[in-house]
Amino acid sequence: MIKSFFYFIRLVFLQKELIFSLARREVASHYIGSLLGFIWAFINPMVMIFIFWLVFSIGFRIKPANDVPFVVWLAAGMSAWFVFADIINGSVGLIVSNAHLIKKTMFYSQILPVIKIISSLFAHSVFILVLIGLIVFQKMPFSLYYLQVFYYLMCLCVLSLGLGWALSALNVFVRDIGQIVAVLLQICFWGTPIFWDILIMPPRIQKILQLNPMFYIVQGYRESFIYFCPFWRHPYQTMYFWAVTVVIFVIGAIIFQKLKPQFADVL
Amino acid sequence: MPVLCAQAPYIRFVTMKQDTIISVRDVTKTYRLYKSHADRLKETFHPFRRKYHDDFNALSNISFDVKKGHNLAIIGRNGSGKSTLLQIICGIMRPTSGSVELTGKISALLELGAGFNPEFTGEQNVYVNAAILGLSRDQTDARFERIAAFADIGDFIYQPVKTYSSGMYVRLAFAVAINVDPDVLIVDEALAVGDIYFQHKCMRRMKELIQSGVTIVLVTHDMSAVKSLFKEAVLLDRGVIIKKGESEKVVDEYYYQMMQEEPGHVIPGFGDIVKEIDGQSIKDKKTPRDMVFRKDEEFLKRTKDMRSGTGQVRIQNMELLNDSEQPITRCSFDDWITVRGHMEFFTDCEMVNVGFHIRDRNGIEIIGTNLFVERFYIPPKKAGDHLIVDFRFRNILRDGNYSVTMAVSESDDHGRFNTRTFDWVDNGVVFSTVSKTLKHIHTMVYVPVEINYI
Repeated sequence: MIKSFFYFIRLVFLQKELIFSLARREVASHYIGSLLGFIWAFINPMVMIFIFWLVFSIGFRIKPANDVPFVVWLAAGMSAWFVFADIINGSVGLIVSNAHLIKKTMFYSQILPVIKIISSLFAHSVFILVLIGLIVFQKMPFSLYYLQVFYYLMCLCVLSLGLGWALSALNVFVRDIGQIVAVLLQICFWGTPIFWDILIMPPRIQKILQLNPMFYIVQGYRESFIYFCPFWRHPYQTMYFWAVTVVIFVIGAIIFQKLKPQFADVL
Repeated sequence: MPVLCAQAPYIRFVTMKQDTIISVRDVTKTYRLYKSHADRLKETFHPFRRKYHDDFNALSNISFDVKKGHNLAIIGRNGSGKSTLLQIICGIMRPTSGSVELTGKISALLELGAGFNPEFTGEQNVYVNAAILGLSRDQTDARFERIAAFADIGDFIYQPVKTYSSGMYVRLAFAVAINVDPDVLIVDEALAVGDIYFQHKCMRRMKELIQSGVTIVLVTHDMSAVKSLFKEAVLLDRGVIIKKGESEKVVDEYYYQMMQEEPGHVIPGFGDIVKEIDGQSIKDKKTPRDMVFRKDEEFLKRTKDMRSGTGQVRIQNMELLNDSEQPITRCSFDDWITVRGHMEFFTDCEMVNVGFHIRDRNGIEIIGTNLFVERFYIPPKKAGDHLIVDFRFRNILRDGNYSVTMAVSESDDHGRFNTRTFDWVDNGVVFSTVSKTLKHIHTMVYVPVEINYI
């Protein structure tokens, strides 16, 4: 049992070459055939951040909290959510949409969510670059704490890989999962303090909201880019996050591993 | 340890007898057939475990071994479980019971171009497809020239795959798969792609692989390939092994099964197949015939779009018969076969000419004649008359699929040229033929040849 679990995970590493070539193709397929090509990867986040800036800094004149412009504060949290939602939304249908690979080739389908994550990280890193550009434009201080974002990114990848495995496998058997996930992501978006500050909530509610693992990551992004606060300042939150994430990761992998032999029968 | 090996729990990498490379033991695959999705859920949650499904055995108790360097062809009719068996061997599907043991690096080619993305160039797709088949980038670099040469699609390899013709597409896909250099190659129905030239290239490459010690497991309907390339074969029918062993015998069994299954057809004597090609005159063998005019609506419907001519005489039916006057769709080399045409006249005709020819699947006319050529005179016909003409000949064709075309026309008074074509039916009847006596006919037809030497 444990041995086959580790073999399941090890196969992902053994297939890294295939993973990267498929991820490269996945990214390229978004831009292939368009004249501007990869430039589009930059246009999208730039326009979005520009609109935030226009609406919140110029339009509503929301006052900077603690000298942090709202648009920076928002974009930092938002970037983490976007990549998470992109990975989860994209993972759900992966097995179903790659049925031809699963039924007709000797293919380790557990690499599909990994490929999705890697290709999503490409767009995400562009977003981060644009975000850093915005921070510099706002004449905010620069710091090595920026690098801490890699830690939170890793947190995000482990969490979303576990979820991706579970959801993509279950969706093969219950196709409603795709719809349910889309709805849940909408709810979670507003349930996670992205557009609003958690401090506006009463302390008791704050405790409940902090149970959401995405809260840890969104908060971590802001601390890396704005507040320059290391993650070991929240030892309990960090421990809680990893406990939840490891459980999700292991359960996701087990669900996938258990259901995988039946994919070819049902697809 | 190979990187790309099946890892499903029922597949074990045990030390088998040294020379066995694939061992299939008692494999059974049962599908649960539900009438609806609701039934599936009802069964899952039913408190008393009521059964809502019907069991369907796609495979029952399949066992066989493939030894190192040996090859196996799996044959059988559509739906006999061949592809399911391959999927189980590859570890794509899990059997309901039984086990599969294998060693070595497996490359499976169950569908050509699975994983091709039409937006990318052939070159890019080659790399990704090779990666799916288990090659690293360096390994693909080393093989790229070979793959490109094999596919032989020129500079199109640098164009998006969506611009390819379907022939180019399968050629590229096959070129990748066959150049992966696995220990075991598992192929499903992939030989029947491309033009004849490419098919030959594939066959040659398969032979090379076999000679270099690659174990090939192939599902195919191409019986001549089975007989010429494979030592051993397994015949499946409804998920059960009917026969396994020497490929020649298994193929014979297959044909026997096929012919038995066709209701009303006579099995051309399998016991006394060794007829000699001795150039007996046709007239000696002619049997009394039951030549009654029959109009066949099904035939007319089928050939509606394959006709040309004035329509003043109509070919109302075409038949392909064996010597027992039974209609056939398959025949053996050296059988006597008869092409019969039923014609109805709607006009008077002084000099009537009827002809036929047999085309192979490339549309090349191989056998044929007409009444002029044979100097065969038929008395004048009146409107309303019927005419039945038999062309009887010995089947000298090599294995393959053929079609029969028939035409009726009027000629000038001396029978030198046609003045008008009444009716011309392309591909009115199709049939396939197989050689049972001669091992191989390498030419389109075989005619008796006298050999002398000093």
